[in-house]
Amino acid sequence: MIGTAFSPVIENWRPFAISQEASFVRRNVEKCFTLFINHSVFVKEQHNLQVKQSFEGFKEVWLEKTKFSSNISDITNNSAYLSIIELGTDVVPFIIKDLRITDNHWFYALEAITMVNPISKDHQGKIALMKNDWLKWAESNFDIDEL
Amino acid sequence: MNYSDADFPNSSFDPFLVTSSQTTRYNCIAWACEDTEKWYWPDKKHMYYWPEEICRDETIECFIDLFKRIGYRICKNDRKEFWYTKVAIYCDDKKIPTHAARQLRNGYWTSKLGRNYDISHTLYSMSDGYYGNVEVFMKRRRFFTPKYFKKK
Repeated sequence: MIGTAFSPVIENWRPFAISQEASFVRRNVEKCFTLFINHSVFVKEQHNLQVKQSFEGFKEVWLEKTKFSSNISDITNNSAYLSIIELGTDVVPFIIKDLRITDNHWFYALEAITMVNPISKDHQGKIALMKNDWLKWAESNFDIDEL
Repeated sequence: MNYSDADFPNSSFDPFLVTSSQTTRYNCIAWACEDTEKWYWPDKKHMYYWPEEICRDETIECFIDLFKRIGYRICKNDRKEFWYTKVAIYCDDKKIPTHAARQLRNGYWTSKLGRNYDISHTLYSMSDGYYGNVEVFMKRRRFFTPKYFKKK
């Protein structure tokens, strides 16, 4: 019965382009979406949460895989460590937070992301002093509340 | 301590004892050099400590030079000798240095496990594990004062 009341429409052809009105609507929707992404606190928080979760996950793997290593090349070429670097500048606050409470080897990652190396020559290899150099740099380059 | 048999397969057959709390301040190379203030490694970005006059490569030659700088010279074996302190440099399959251990007066060896703990162990208990095996033994006379500590 249904078959006879609503006979199936077989689509053999579709318009090649969308109409002018549809195109106008699509452009505006895209514009609204972009503006929303850039300015929405909610989206920013969601993004930060995703970065944080990724950071925590990669950090755990990195620490486990390199737990006995003294070799800085091994420690900083670990795939999880490189993945943290790939998260980009958004991950820097999380690295700085971690550096405040641990002595983890974040110096290569921070240098790779920020293109800065605030460690003075006298402090090479002295983890506590290297860490202080980076924390001082972070204080003058980041909003403390953000951290 | 959080290590498995896969990390150090012989650690359950011979002494392998934790002797310190965890710290990242120094590594095994620094510990073998009796320095607890720095992390030694010949990294190319010059972030970590490595004496400037020593070649900055991850090769056994550079590590031997590091220990020569503080008075060690290559020796044949790990046999305990009263007048000498010995170090063992470990390498992986590719002959890249991975670790160093220092002999204690009682004949056991002391090591720092990366950013983890100091341990006392035998060469056997650490062999065939995370760090590979000993490539070179070096020794220096006890109570040795390196040249760079002597007043001019």
